[in-house]
This record gives sequence, structure tokens and C-alpha cells, in this order.
Amino acid sequence: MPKTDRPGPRSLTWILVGIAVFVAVLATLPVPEVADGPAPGTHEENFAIVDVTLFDGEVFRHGWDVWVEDGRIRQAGLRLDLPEDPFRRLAATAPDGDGTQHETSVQTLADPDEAAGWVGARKAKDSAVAQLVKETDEPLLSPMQRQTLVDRFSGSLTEGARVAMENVRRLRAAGVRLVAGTDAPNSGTGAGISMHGELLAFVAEGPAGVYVFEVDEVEVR
Amino acid sequence: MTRGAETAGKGGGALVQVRGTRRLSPARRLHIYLLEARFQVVEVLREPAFAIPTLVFPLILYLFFGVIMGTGGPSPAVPTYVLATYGVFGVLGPALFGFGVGLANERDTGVLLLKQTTPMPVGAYLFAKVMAALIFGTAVVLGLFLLASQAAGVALHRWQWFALAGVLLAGVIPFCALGLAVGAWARGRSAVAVVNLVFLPMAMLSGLWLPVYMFPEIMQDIALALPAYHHAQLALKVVAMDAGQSVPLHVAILMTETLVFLAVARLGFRRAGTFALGGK
Repeated sequence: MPKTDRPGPRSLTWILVGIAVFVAVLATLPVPEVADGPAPGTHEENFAIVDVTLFDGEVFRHGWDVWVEDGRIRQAGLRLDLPEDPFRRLAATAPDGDGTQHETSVQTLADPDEAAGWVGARKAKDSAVAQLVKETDEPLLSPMQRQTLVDRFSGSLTEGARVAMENVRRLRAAGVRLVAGTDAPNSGTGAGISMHGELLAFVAEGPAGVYVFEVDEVEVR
Repeated sequence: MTRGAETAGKGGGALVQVRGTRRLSPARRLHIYLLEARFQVVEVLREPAFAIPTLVFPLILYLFFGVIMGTGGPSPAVPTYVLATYGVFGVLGPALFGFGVGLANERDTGVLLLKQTTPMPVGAYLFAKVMAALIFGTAVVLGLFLLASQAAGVALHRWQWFALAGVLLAGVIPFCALGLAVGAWARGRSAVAVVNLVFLPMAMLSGLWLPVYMFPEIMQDIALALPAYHHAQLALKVVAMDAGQSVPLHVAILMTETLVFLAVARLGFRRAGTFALGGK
């Protein structure tokens, strides 16, 4: 075969240079500002929320447990093996009664009078649920998603939104039960995120998160 | 006899016998592959009527829909969405036109026959076309990324930039296979029309210009059959804006369709009497 000029290796060099330039450009493209972690001091507690209905963006998960650590959700699932045992105590039983044969510890009540105290403690524990709803827009969303929420639900309302909020206020004043809902995935809405936004809007307009939670309950069923 | 000569002999009707019995060494083979790829790129670059629209059209579309019309909203959601879908559009163009029109023209003008008379392996011809599509696709993707980040305020995580580029460029493979199928069946003169008939409706129905959910249901069902739809969904998944179907589903459909396109191309070549793809 005749000896020829060798453009082959030269082409290879050009290809490698091209790849290097491509990678270099990609490496310099802008990235979102680092997501704010939980502000120091505001999420000191680690806590669990047990047996709740969780919307994971696609489907409702009933009876799930959520473990929150340093203000971020670390784990969620059905009957989580939670780091701290007390959260596991969904049920109480008599000493050596039904349930104590399992490996998970079950709180025992020696006397019927102890039941009221136990129920009170359970109710107190459930207050964490409201806390979860209040905080989900912070650690779970990407900066872009959060920005979308902030942009959409803060600042001056558009005329249409103002009228809608006023209607909500009047309906509530008239005792009408409202169901939170979104039109996802229509333009500008997304499954999950828009529901958070909807609830935020209710909070902004209404007196308390408790009301929002009632609304959410209706949605779940 | 070299592989190219065998191919010419069996698939092309044995018009020319090529001398030489030496098998190509791997180095020589690589040399031929690179050489063919290089000249393929040079050929495309020397045809500005092809090169410029292919490179500039997706950028102009992005400038209009992503930058001018897309940045008025409260967040960079629209520019991000169209970055992914126009990226698919930008990769689709060079792959379909380079293969579809290029192949049909080269067959009609006799260039393909001329190449078949050389000891060049068939693979080098296909490799060169894929490389040209890949290089043009890379240029379009790079242009879109720069435009999106500098003019439309799109900021993605580092892994997202790389993953998006990777997903977009991987689309060259199914689209080249589709182009090959079109090029194998279309005649030179009609190739442009046929490719456009595939290119533009597929781009629209796959949601590359407008999200699929804005279409009537019947059009949404059609989208499920189109490779560009599945490729776009993979790209959108990188930026968390897809319709929610699973990655393995999209990948499986794309791979199946690629195989179907290659089979269709092979039938076309057999019918036309040009080289049998991967034949003998």
C-alpha cells in the first residue's frame, strides 16, 4: 500500500481536542446556587412521624413512617425501623399481652387508667405532622423548584389570583368545605409541587395550618 | 479479498473486482475509518446550504421560544424544558438529513458505487456518517447550552449538564438508523421531501415544540410510537420535567425501534442492490 500522509491520527487528535473543549465548556456552565440547608438552630430536633398518608409526587402512600434528621427527611417507608423506639409505639397492650411476642417493642399499660395518658402522648406526637407540612417546601425541593414556588406564591398577586383568594375567603366564611387540588400537569403546574403551593396559598390566606391539614385530609380520601 | 470488495461483489452485483488479498490491519482499518469520517465532515461543511440551517435552525427556535418568549415567566421552567426538547430536535436534524438525504444522493450520483469499489470497509462509510451527525449534534447541543445558560438564565446541576449532553448525543444512534432506513428506500430527488415528511411531523408529534399533554389524546397516543418522543422524555427526565414513564421503557422502545430501522434499511439496500448492511 502506498505510503500516504497520515491524516488518521490527526483526525484522532482533533476528535480528542473537540471532546476536551466540549467537556471544558460543560464544566463551566452555570449551576444553581447551593440549596440552602436547614438554618442552624432551627431544626435541632430529630423526629419521626408515624402512620401518615404521604404524597410522594406520584401516589399516596398510606400508613407510612417518616424519619426526619437535622431538618431533612432521611427515610420514609412502610413501618420504618426507626432509630428511636418510642416512635414505634403505635399500639399499647397489657403486660405480656398480644403484640409483645414480636421483636418490636410494644408499650404496655398495666392499668386502664394509664390509657388516657398514653392517648394524650400519642396526640401530642401527631403535632409533628403539621410541622412536616410546614417545612416540606424547604429541604425537599431543588432550588429551581423552590424558586418557582416562591415566585408564584409570594409578592404581589395578580388580579386573577387576588379575586380567587377573595373567593376562597368568602367561601370559607360561609362555611363551605374546600378541597385542595391542582390541575397538574397543565402548563405551570406539576404533580406534588403544585399541591404544596396550593396549601401554602391556603396558609397565606387562612388563619392556621390546621385548616390546611383538614383540607388535605379531604383530598387524601 | 477485503471485506469492502466482498461486499461490493455480493451486494452490488460484482461490477468491479478489487485486487488485493491482504486483510486490513487494525491500525490501517482505524486510519480508513478516521479518514472517511474526516472527509464526511469536510464534505458537509463545504455544503453551507446544509450545514448552516442544521446548526442555526435549533438555535433560532430556542432564541425565539426559549429566550424571548420563555424568560418572561416567574421561573426558568420554560427555557429549561425547551432546552431539552430543542436539543433532541438539534440532534435529530443532522442524523436524519445526513443519513437520509446524503445516502440517497450518493447512491443516485454514483458516489456510493465508487466507494464500494475501494477496499474501504462498509463500516467506515456508516461510521463516517454517524460521526458527522455526532459532531454536528455536539455543535448544536453546545450552542443551545450556551444560549440557555447565558441568555435564558438556565442553571442546572453539574451532573445534569453532563447527563443532558450525554442523553441528547446518544440519540444520534436511533436517529441515524431511522435516516439509514429512509435513505435506503428513498430516491435521491425525493429524499429531501421524504426526510422532511418524517422530520417535521415527528418533531411536532413528539412534543419537541410543544409539550405532548397539550395535544388531543389521539395525538398523544401517536407520540408513544415515535422515537423522538422517547428520546425527549429521557432528556426531560434529566431536568425532572418528563411525563413520568420509566427510563427502561424509553430505552427499550428506542433500542427496539433502532433494530427495526436497521432491518428496514437492510431490506431497502437489498431491493436497491447496493451494499447489504452488515450482510454476507
